[in-house]
Amino acid sequence: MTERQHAEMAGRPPFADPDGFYQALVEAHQRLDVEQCLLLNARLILLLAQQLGNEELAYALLREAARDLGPRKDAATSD
Amino acid sequence: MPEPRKRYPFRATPELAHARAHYPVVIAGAGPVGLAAARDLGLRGIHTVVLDDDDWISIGSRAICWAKRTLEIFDRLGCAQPMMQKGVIWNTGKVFYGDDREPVFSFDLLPDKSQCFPAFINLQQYYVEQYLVDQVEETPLAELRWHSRVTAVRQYSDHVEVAVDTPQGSYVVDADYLIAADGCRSSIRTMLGLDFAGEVFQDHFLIADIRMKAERPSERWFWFDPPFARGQSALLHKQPDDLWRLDFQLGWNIERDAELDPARITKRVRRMLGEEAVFELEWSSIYTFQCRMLERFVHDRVIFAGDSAHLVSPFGARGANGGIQDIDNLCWKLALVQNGVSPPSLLTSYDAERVQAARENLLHSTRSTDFITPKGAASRAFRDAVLSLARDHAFARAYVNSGRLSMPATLAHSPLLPVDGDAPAAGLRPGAPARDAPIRVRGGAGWLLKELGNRFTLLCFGDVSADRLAELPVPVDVLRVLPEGSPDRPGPMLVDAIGKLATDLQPAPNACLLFRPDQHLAAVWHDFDAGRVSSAVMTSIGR
Repeated sequence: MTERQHAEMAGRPPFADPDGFYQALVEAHQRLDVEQCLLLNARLILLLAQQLGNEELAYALLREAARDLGPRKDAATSD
Repeated sequence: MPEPRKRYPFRATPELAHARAHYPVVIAGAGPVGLAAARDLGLRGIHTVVLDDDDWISIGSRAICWAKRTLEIFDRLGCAQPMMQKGVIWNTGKVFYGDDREPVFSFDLLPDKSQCFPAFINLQQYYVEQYLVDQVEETPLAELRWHSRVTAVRQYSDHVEVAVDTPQGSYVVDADYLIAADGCRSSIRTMLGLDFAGEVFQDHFLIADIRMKAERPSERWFWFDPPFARGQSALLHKQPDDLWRLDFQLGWNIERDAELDPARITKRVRRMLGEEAVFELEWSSIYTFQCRMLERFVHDRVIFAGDSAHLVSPFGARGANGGIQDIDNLCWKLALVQNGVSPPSLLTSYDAERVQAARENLLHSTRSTDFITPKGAASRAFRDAVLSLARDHAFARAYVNSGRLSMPATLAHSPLLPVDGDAPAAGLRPGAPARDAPIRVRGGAGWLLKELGNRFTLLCFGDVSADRLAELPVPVDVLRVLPEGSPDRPGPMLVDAIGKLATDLQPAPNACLLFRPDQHLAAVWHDFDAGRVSSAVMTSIGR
């Protein structure tokens, strides 16, 4: 992320009830199997990206999220 | 039963009697690409010999979707009319998902209705080849040699030597250039030891061409995860002669022979079309696909075009259509080089322009493939996320990729584009192919592209008087554009009958637009300046 993008995000206040949203995220996944979890997250990401309305920022956030994950730990060829 | 195909006889050639001959251009391969090249070069006064190892045109499942730009090129070559008469015209694609009998969405591939040609016609490749052969046989400077297999190619500084094997013996011909249009398994590519780099996709698809009387719209229908093929995709296209192209995704781990069992295919088709469907299976085959291309298409005196140069997946109809555009780009340049007007270095622009176009086709094709055949759980999740959101959310439909259908490349980064043009208006960018428009010409209705033809053309708006272009090494047709209702003027002109040229091009009042012989826009000026136009023409011919 650029410094400006980082500063903009840091300057925004957290959700009024961060624990509540965190709990909602976890609970939305709890009744799902792994495949469904992937689908839920994918749908959520697409909706959030559209709501973001900013392609440049979407790419920056993707890079930020992927940062420091390191190489894959299994030897399988499927992702 | 498949229609009987015409066989073409072998004819003895003077070379078999040891009379060694030299031709300007030899073309290997009498597929759509090679035949189009022979026709195009013939129209430009260049003598060609086409060699094909077979004695008939292709059978079975090959290209079926011919795009608007291809039809425009075929029209320039004089063979679009029989194709339009025989082909199934279509403009609409529909995408289905899951159990829903209604499409998730439809797309119109021809939003601009004022066009001479449709977005696509479906026509079996054997018809296209037959019409092209008919045209080539009427081209005095083109000679078709069936049963003639290229066995060796040797390059020298000033010519290329081609060894040919025939039923009556072998011979050698010399040529200034060899066009290798010998298809995806190009033997010439192998002879030259060229690396055909790319990607193989781990998926199988079953083609079933069935003959069936059915009332269905002429549209492209694509299914993701339908009830008749859970977890897979399927595609339906209408072809002439009551023929329907069904394309089923099968997956990677299959038993090939079992899948090709006609009883099994029939069952599969019935699951799709209903138990009551009455049809005959005309053709079936299983294919996997690859996205590959040569790094360069011009190798000294051997020039690659079509599948020998680039291979894509069928989703998007970018294979044969891309190949015909190669020829559109190559032939005017090759003719200028052969006629001594341009230096051989002009051909490097074919490389630059068509390699860029092939990369674009390859990128689209690879992305479509990644959507249709997701590589693993996460990609599948994103694919399914897109499809499941598409019904309720219009934004998600933009991600649905069942094939991004063939569009002509805009050669925006070409080193051949003149650099001293004025900034174009919002309309057409230099490098883009001209967009057709209905016009009035010579007192009757016409089309812009027919007037642009196959030569350099300068379109002039307003009061421009462009009569000072005489001393150029290539002819430049000057065409004045008049708005509807203006009084006649001397010289060649066309009338912007419905004002579409003004809308499409948004020209300055006295604008001039230079189109190349392949109908791509070279440069735009706000006013006529003979010096600038002349220098742009010189740049465009590589001088």
